[in-house]
Amino acid sequence: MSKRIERVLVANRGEIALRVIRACRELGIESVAVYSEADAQAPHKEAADIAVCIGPPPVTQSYLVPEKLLEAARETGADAIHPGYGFLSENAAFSEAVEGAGLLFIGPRAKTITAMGSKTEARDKMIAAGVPVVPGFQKEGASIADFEREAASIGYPVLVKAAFGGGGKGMRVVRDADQLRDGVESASREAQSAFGNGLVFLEKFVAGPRHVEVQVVGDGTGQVVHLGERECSVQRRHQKVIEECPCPGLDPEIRAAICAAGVRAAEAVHYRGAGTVEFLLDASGAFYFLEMNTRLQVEHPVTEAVFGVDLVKLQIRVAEGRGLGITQDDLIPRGHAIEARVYAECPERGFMPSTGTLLRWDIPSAPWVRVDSGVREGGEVSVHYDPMLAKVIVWGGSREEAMARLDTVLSNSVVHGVESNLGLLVRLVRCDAFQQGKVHTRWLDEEGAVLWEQHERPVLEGVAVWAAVETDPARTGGGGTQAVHSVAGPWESLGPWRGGVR
Amino acid sequence: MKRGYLIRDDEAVSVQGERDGQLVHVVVDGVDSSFAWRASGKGRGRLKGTDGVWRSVAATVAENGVWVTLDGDTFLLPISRSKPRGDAGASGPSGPVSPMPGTVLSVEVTEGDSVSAGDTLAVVEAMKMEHRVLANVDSVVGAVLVAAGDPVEGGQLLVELVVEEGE
Repeated sequence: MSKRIERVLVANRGEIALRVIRACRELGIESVAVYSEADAQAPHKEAADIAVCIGPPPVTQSYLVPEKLLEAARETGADAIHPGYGFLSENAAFSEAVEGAGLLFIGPRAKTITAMGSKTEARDKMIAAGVPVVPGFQKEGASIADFEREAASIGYPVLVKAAFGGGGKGMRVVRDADQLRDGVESASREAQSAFGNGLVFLEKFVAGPRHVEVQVVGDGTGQVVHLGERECSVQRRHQKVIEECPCPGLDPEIRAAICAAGVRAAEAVHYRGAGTVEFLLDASGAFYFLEMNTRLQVEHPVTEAVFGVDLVKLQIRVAEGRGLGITQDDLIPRGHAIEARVYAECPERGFMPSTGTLLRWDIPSAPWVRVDSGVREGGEVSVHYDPMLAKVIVWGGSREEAMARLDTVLSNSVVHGVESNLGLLVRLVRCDAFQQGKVHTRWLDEEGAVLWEQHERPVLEGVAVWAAVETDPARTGGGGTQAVHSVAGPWESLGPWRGGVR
Repeated sequence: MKRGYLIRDDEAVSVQGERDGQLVHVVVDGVDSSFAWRASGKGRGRLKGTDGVWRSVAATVAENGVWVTLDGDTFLLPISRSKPRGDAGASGPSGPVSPMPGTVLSVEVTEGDSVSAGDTLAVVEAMKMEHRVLANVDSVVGAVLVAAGDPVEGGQLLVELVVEEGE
């Protein structure tokens, strides 16, 4: 049975809220934005047809409160909710509450979210569906002796992981039997305090793995198509930084096998909507199921660029009960796409988030470039939300062309007012390991500092001196009051430098 | 020729710059460099170094220094015309700044107040701890840049201190 959606409440903020609003607009669907008091001037609030304030800045008092979102939906007469990613997108209780209120949830069924949210249950389901999983051991109430026996049979090193976790919390690499008890106990303690559940399991530690994930879309009745794979191995502390489609240098047979495994995984749960099946790929070409993300991914635009499909529109179509409208044969990849995430953070200081006013925000537009951003020049980057400023996505006929385009865009971008990882991204794209497609998931954490240290601060000091000479600081909007340590008075106004905000 | 100071590693180093047609000449802490320069408007330009390659640079002059970018690399470089006062590292480069990202709990001074070294200027809460930001030199409060409740980032200037001239 199908039902046309007329008004979608977007239960998110930032670039993904804008992304969903744009798809709604193209489909002639009205959009409702929700915003916190800190987002009263945010682009997503202004872009939507209707906007509702849902409370104070902290997410626990606004974007993460199901009742406030449902109340906003009721108030505005929305007939569906799109959760975006993060926030409540993988919260089964929320999805259930949405459907209980008679609204469509643009995402999978609550029971699918629950099943895939539990690493142990997901693992069982994948084994049953014939999807390769990392050799491991899981049992509720397992003793240390059980863990020791199983770890020996899997072979060290092993990974101890929280059953209900993520983001590297409740995770330990154990290299030999002596450390096992310690690893299990500390991971369990950490999992208990971070996720409220101390259940842990064992997994073979895959050395130098690449992160390869398969984009799938299901109609909810067992029909599933895949939209190829993405490689997301450039990560720092389990946070993706650069993603691409397709995975560079992947053997066609392995590609076919990994995509087929992704489809089997989704078929096994009669998956509804867009989802991503993540795998670890080792150097031998063996791949193992990691987890399934039951939502739209941050990096979905690279897939859209290569397959020419609007995934958000497809999500909406499926939610309306109108099926996929496409078959696997319709999905033909073309060229190569790369996404770089621009974060407000300082790589030099342990990637500490940076906040402040965006004095300048200029990512040049060009053919084959897409910038998904939730910020604007003059806006505030606050402490309350994710420090991702934008995703820069480029498409090229080949990987080389895409890399050159990404280099050009990033090296001509200007982000002033908050620190960002822009310089690191440029050097990443230029470095040999990335150029050759030989990056594994721990590479950036191990090599990133070296990349950062290559900066050319001395040259920049010269440029700064020159900018100060060329600029009249009295015009910078500082109200004439100069900080003691900044320029005390106008030197001269000669050149084209623009000063300060706006 | 223009002269001023740049704060580098908590030290004030002298800088000077001038332009001769398309050639920019700068001296930073005794290190001399020249580059060819083309302005391309809106705070952007192209710079040609000794390798002969033109590269895109951008600069924004803000209240607390100059933001500069070259191939994505971005720094906020504090530059002033007059030599920063007091001990470098204490009152000099960083001044009364927030030690890390957090929220201002209170501001203890107002513009025009005379303060002595050691006086509390503001209190910042960060990482669930209170940090008292102290004056490190006898001075007069020039301007209060934050208010209670404001989020601040690490290194952000909270209060301007003006030291009586006497160089």
